[in-house]
Amino acid sequence: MIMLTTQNLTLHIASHIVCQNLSLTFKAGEFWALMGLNGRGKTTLLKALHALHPVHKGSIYLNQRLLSDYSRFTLAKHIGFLLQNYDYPFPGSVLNTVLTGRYPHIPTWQWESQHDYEMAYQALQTVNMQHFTERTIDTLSGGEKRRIHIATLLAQNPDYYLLDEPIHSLDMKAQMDILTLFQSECREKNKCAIMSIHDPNLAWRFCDHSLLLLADGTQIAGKTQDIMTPFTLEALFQYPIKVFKQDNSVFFTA
Amino acid sequence: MSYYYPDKKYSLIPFFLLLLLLTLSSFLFSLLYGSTYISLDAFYSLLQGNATPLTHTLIYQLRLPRALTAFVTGALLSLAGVLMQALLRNPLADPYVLGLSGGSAFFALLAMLWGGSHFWITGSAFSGALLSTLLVFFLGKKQQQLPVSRLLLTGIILASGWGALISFIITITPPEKIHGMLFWLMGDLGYSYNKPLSLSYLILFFGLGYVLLLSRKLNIILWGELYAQSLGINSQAIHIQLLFLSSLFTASAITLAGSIGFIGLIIPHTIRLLIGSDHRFLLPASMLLGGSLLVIADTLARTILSPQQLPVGILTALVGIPVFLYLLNKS
Amino acid sequence: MPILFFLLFLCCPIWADINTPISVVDDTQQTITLTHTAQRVISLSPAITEMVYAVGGAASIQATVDYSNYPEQAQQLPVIGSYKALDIERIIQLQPDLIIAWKSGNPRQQIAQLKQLGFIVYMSEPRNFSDISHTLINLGKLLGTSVLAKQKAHSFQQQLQRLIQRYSRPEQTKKRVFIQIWNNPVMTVNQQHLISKVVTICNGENIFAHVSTLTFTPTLEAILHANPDIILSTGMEKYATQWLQQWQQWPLLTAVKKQQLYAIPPDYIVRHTPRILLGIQSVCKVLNPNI
Repeated sequence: MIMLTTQNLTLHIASHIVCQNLSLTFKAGEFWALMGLNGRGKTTLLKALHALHPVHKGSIYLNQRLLSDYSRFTLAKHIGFLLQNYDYPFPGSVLNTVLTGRYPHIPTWQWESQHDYEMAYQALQTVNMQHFTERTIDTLSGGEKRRIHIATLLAQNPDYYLLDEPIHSLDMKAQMDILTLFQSECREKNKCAIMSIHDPNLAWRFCDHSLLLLADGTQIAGKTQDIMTPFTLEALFQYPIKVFKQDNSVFFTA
Repeated sequence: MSYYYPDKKYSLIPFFLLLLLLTLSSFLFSLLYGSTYISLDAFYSLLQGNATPLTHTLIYQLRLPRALTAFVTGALLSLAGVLMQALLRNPLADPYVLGLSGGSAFFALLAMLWGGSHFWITGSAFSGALLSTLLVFFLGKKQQQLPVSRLLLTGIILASGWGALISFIITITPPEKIHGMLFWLMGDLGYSYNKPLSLSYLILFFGLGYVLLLSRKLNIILWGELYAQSLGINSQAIHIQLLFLSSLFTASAITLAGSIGFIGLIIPHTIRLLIGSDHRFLLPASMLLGGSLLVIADTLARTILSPQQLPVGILTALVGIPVFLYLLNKS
Repeated sequence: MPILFFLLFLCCPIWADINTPISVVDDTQQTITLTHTAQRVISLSPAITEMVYAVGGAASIQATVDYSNYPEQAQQLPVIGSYKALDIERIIQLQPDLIIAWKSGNPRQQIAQLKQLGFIVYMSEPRNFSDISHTLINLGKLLGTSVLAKQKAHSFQQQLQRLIQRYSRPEQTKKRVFIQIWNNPVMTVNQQHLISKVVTICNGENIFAHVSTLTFTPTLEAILHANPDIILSTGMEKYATQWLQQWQQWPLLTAVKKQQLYAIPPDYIVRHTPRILLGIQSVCKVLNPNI
């Protein structure tokens, strides 16, 4: 059973509280939206789920085993992280960049195998960047770069995708492509994605589950359709929210 | 669907053969040229065991040890450069950026000022380099972490502190000793024949082996701490290893030849421009190119104004910078 | 009565010195004019200090620079920095009426500053032996000790000529000499340097005479290749043996084979002062053991 569980989890950044007594289970097949104001601690929570931020109280389990009992190397086979920003002090080729995702799967003494190359190439095909293998990464556009980093994550092939604002500053088509991609990864390949995002409408449309970090320091988690209401969104955004319903769709607006 | 990608490790074989050829030629160049040219014929008969005692001494006691020292020094500095750049994720980092040369120069000059023997000068240069590394490490550390930006800032500040102390020493030094100090500061391979080279060989040999084992991690470290950690690397441990390995390499190089600039900056970048940033290739290639460049530069340093010799640091700059700028422009 | 005339005659030059302006031309071809003989003199190099004492200026010299170790009295003088870093404020405080500077040794800007401040600066730049006697005479004029200075200059010239004649052997092949003035890095000099000229007087030949730089670092290779008959080191006593010891590892050198390694005290031989005669004597003895 693939599951990532938090038990009475309390996280701090200095004295600021990110979440308190959070008990949740992220299961395979689920696509989670993580929402909250800027600076509320979304990135910190994502980091904590990858054992990259100290836990104040409570514990996190991956497949019934404490997260802190895993070695970093083993953890990387299970959990992948898409960072908000990347910089390129030493830009390399697109293919080499995507191959870095294979790192946790290659034993210390070995070179990348044909299999690793195939995984990388397939990942590039998935994001439709297979014709860019030899381009240097810093010559690509913002959207193309994001797709390369997503391909790297796909090549890493973990059970959990921790996505830190994967669609920020992208055009609408790119946003839809990326969200559709992860939705199908969850539904068809039985992965679990946890994604921080600011747009409630996109979260409503793509994510079956949501974790809302409210402005008062509390949090609400559950099925998106159950918990995402004008009332909870107002508590989250600290701004009056209107809701429009049309056919089966719901639209939130400020 | 199957996709085949030509394996990089075989496609680079010609490049490495070329580098080996360059290394061999640089040694031949340095063995044949000097105050007097030794012809290939004379060199050949030397190899067969019949040569004049002068030729024998020139080659075996002067030029060969000097070329070997130059090679090891250049190789160590290039490796240290690669490691520093990976550690600081900064293409402008060089072996000296964290104040290593400053620390070792200060202690070496202090030893010179007190009229210390050669042993004392090299010994204090080495301890100075290690001391400044420890200073950077402990001052840069914060809550059991070693943030790279803080490390860099600490290093640069310490470097300028060392710089002030060096200027102080030079100011109070009697003029007749200044020349020796300047030579040391610019790098000098003139004393290769009585240096304990074997320790440096060991450091280079085992050091290279060790960093090659780290090389796949280094490829990922370049992407930043968080990313490296998310891919399963304990970046903290790697950073500490990198700091101490690069310091050890730099300190050994300084001990052999004083402080020689530019090599650690130019060589890794030249290789990057030629074959990319994969450390599995970057490290050995930088070692070969850095070693040969210093062998060539040192041969020029002792021949172009013969019988005078120049500090080799001047030549590495004069040879290295145009080549580097050309490559940078072409890429 | 004749005695009185004689006395008058004797003191006349001195008397004249005090009252009439004194003019001399220094080594930069500048005319230095004093209204009276210099009473408060500052010397800016150890060699100049020696020269001032040589012409009997003990009473007028007020201060000097580091390493002014000869004559012994000079060591008691106040020191106003080293020759390459002068303490201008101390100089102003001492209010000298004459500063004697060393053109190629003292920092040019500090000298310019001193001139700007209105001090009278005599620039000395001795290049050969005759400059020594010529400087002695000039200093004598400025310090009002011309009689003694002329005597000293004359006897210097005489002794020098005697030495040159004594060791002149044009028919002999010259000994090839490597002059080591510093160790670590090993440094040597070309023919322009005083030491090299001393070696020439002593029937020797500097193996690096032809090089264009005054002092420089030769490659070890070039030394082995030139293969000198003698190695002369001018290191200070406590170092000289250690310097020379290092050559033992090159038995290929004729100088090492025949153990022709000698140390000459640097003070005798690097300063343009009458003591150079001692330097010439000791170098010549080393180069010509039979004479």
